[in-house]
Amino acid sequence: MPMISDGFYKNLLINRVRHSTRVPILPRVPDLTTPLVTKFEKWSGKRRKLFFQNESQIHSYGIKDFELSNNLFAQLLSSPMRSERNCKTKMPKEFLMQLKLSSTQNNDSSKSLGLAPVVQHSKLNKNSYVVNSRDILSQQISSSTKWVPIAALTSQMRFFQMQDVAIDKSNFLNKYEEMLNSLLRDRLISASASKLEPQDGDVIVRFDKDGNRPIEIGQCKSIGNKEVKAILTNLKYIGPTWEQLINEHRNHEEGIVIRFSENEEAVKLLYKMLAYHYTH
Amino acid sequence: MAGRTILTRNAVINSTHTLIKCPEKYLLPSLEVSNLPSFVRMAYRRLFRLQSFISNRKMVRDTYGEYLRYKFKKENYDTKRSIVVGDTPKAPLREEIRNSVMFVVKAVSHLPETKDSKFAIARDNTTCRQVLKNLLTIEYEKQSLIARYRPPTKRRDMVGPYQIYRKDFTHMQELNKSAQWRVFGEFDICTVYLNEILQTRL
Repeated sequence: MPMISDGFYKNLLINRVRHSTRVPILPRVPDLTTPLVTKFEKWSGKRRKLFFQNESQIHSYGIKDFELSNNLFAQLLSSPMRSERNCKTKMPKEFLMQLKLSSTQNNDSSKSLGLAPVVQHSKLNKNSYVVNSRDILSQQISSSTKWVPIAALTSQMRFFQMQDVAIDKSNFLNKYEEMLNSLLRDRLISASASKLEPQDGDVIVRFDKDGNRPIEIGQCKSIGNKEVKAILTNLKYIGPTWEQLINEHRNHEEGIVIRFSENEEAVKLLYKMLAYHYTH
Repeated sequence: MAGRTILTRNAVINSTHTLIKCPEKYLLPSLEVSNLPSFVRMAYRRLFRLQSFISNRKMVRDTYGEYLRYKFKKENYDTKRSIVVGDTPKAPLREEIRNSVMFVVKAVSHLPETKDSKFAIARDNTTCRQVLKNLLTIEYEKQSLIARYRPPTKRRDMVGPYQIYRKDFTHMQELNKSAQWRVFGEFDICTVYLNEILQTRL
């Protein structure tokens, strides 16, 4: 019997394959032309967005910066939505009045919890939201028990009854007004300390006896008689006492100039005040 | 597999987003179009093309579509505007349309940001998206109120929500009549103020 060398098997298994390169063992995969692959974006099911590499590319398509960080209305309209408790409709929360449920501090009250409005919104405790309007709230104050935060009522962690919640109906709005008044006064005075030349989108606080709208978009003169588009607010609608404050602390011929990006809190308080007193 | 990126001719797809690379067909041409009606139609088509970018949820996309139809076909914006700002001079219509399309494009655009490189315009775009989202939520509330409304059989003189919120805008004139009017009215008034500043027509 002829001897078969070890190398023979090796040649059969390995070298034969190597020599036959002209006939590929695996069939060549053709280029994928099916729309399932080439148009994958159509059915990927992910959130679709327009893609821009960088800032200069987005500008090259003529898309400009609206400078919304210095725009009162854009900031109000873009705040997160909360449900309004009287009509159960959602509304950006900067338009609404925040009510807080907290444990009462003074011991003479027989009730352990209290519901009261706050001027500056915060996430502390359980909150509910109602419209920021004196007229509507004074009409609805009799049914104020329905303003208790639902999150607190349905909570599994604690239990209380509606009778445990104290709502000071007679002073409910008065206290809010006092807080709002004193805080706005403070903020306006501190804002007036910095001398600003009006720019586009700035808020100008005025007391104009002849004005017929609490908020207007109008022209205002800046350095060198340059006209800028500003938000003109009129404190006539809040009360006559504000005239003195404006006259004493004005930092521009028109009144007090505030910039949203620098003094966000003051501008939001101002809007809140004007909206609260709006009577139509 | 999470994190794998797929590249196609028109898009980059990763685990969270489908990023469309060619924005040309969603933007208005930079050259001036002399014929106003055809310019308005161009804007309408582009805004409708952007519908799939608005949301993954059909409900939101439908709200957006309804909103566009109402804005282009039914709304009397001049009446609405005059309630808020009176007879003040207004921006040219072409400018308003151009800026409105730009607003929606900004709301749906994406810029790759890392911890070290941030773009100022990306913050602006985020605010646009939030405003648009809130606008569509309010629109949805209005649309569902209008759809739910059944006129009473006895009192035929009652004014329905379509007449109030879409045609006469009485909710913007008598804000404090009810909490519902106040909510919609204050939102609409602030939207008009925003339009005045940005020269848009949202």
